Amino acid sequence: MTAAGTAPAGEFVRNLMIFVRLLREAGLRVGPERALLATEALAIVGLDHREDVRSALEGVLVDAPEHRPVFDALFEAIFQPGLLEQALLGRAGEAVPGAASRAAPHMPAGGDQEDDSSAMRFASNQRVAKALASLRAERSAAAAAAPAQARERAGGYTRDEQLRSSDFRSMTVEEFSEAAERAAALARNLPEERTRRYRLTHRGTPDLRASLRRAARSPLAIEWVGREPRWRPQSLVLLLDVSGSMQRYARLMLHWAHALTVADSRTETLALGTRLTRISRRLRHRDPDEAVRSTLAEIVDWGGGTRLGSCLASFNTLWARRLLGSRTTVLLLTDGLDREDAALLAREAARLRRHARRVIWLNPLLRYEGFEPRAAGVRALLPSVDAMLPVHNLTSLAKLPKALA
Amino acid sequence: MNLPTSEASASDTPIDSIDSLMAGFGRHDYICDRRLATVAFLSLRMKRPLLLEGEAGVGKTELAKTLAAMLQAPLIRLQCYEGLDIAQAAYEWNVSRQLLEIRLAEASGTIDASRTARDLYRREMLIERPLLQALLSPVPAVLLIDELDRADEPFEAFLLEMLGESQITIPELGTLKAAHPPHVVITSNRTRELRDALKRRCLYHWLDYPDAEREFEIVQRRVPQAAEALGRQAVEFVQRIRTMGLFKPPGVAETIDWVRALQALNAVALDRERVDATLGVLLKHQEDIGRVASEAPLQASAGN
Repeated sequence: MTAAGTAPAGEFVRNLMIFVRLLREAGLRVGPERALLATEALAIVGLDHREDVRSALEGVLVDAPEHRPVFDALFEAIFQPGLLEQALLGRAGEAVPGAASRAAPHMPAGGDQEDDSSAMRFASNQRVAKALASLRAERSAAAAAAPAQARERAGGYTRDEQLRSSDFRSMTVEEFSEAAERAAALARNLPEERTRRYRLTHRGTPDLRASLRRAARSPLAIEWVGREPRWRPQSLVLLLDVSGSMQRYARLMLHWAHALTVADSRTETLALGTRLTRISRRLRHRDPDEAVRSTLAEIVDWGGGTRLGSCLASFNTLWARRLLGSRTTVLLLTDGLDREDAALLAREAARLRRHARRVIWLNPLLRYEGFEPRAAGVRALLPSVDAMLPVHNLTSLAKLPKALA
Repeated sequence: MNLPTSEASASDTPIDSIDSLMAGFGRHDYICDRRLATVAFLSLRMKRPLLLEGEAGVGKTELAKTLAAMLQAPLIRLQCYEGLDIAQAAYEWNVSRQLLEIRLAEASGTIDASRTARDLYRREMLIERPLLQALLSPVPAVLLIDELDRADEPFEAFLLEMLGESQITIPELGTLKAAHPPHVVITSNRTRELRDALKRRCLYHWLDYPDAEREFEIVQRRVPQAAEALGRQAVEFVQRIRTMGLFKPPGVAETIDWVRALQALNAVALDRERVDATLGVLLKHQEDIGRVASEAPLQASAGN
């Protein structure tokens, strides 16, 4: 009854739907048509081999390597060996709700199933646990967690002049949100670069093919068209220090980064704290507040310590080759205050410099007139950057395009 | 490497199960795990494009080649690069022929504007590029869209119609639908994230480096003349340096090349001198070579 070709048993399908829902809770984008596709795939592969079921579902439901650990952990939780057999025997009616309630209540720690410990599962268990917990609790939690924003002192006034020159760190909440909007607007002014693609114009090199095509549409009047190179936003990689000392600036720069990402979806942003988090995907959300909110939720070490050297090291090994092309500019946003080994930082910064077109350090500490590179981290970074610029207020942010041209 | 020209005619057994697919791959010297075989099998059965991502040199392109050889289907390859556009990927109008046609019409004095325009844009005037070739192929072809992440994003949008509906719409001509939809394999090195719209139309598989046992099997298949001890030691060495956090860890293709190089130097086992002389085959970055030469012992346990 389970040979390839037969449709999966109804109970099994229900189990599958729970699985899909959990994946969605854990942040995978699994639409209804994907779920349908999953049943189709299982009908082809059959339910005889657990590993085949896993591979088939993975091929259909996962579309990025970072989601694989989540998938694996949830797969283990839902399709335990016994459970699958029960489903096949048609006793899943009792097994399914059992699985749900068994997995949900005591999953928060991440792995109290008999076999835990695989490193991958460990890495992702936060998301997995969250997904499993949500099976039980409705999502009031998400709404409550949302306005974890800094509720600073209210009041104050926002004069244009003052807003432009005041330090992001000393702004009131209202000022800050207005500044965030302005920063986002500033992001659209960055200079563009020439690409190898062309667009049609009435100037530029004449394009025979296009002219002829146009002539075919209106054969009586020949109208010559030409082509010229297209321009597009520069490709940027933002490395954003999210440690405690940078918190306020980092938050504002998240808005700026979001605007950059919306303007050009190739913009990549990574958060540096005690570990490296790639947040580009979150920032791609169109709505700025939603994007920043979900980004903050993703960065677990927000406002924590700094391990600049190790973060750059993991950027260099994991991402540099992928994200840095020969035309990519790296914007490093940090105050350079690092508690780690300065030698490591110097080495990794030099490595970063070699793989990028240029590295520009945006340092909010430059707000002080007499800033001197005295801290060990600052001295380690300086030799490997092409320029160091201030970013502590809107005026300094507005000057950025010139430096990037 | 080169396509295996097997004398034992390729698709002798029909691909009707995951096992038969794996066996077929094996006959063409492509060793893969069951995970990959499952997804590849599904992609054939469900007629969905297969999107393969993974580090360089893990055998993404090779899979498409093997698939084509196994199905005895023509392999049509589209190598992506920045600036790739429809004219190079799908079709182009043969402008010189069109101009000639106009001259002919002029010379014969039968210029009828609307008819000439129609005549200029008919099927024979099209120059077929890989995508259109694959679509119009008289037998189902294997279409390999290689390193899609190198193409710009607008190009991905153009692919959607091709991947979802197996058709291409040419504004001047109409919609061309495939009589025999090709089997599509897309590869990406993940230098950038592909669009969700594209991913949604595909089955996805992330290719990892193979484990030591499988990699050794691959080496044996590809370099059968190499000594067994050499193959084992080389694979063990490569597996070890992959965990060193190199800038560009060596792929399977590099392992094969390396064993070939060592074999060409008549090595029967790893020795420091030959290893140092051939590291450039395995590693392509100076800092990686420096690190491996100074830090990695030849044998795992007994250090050299």
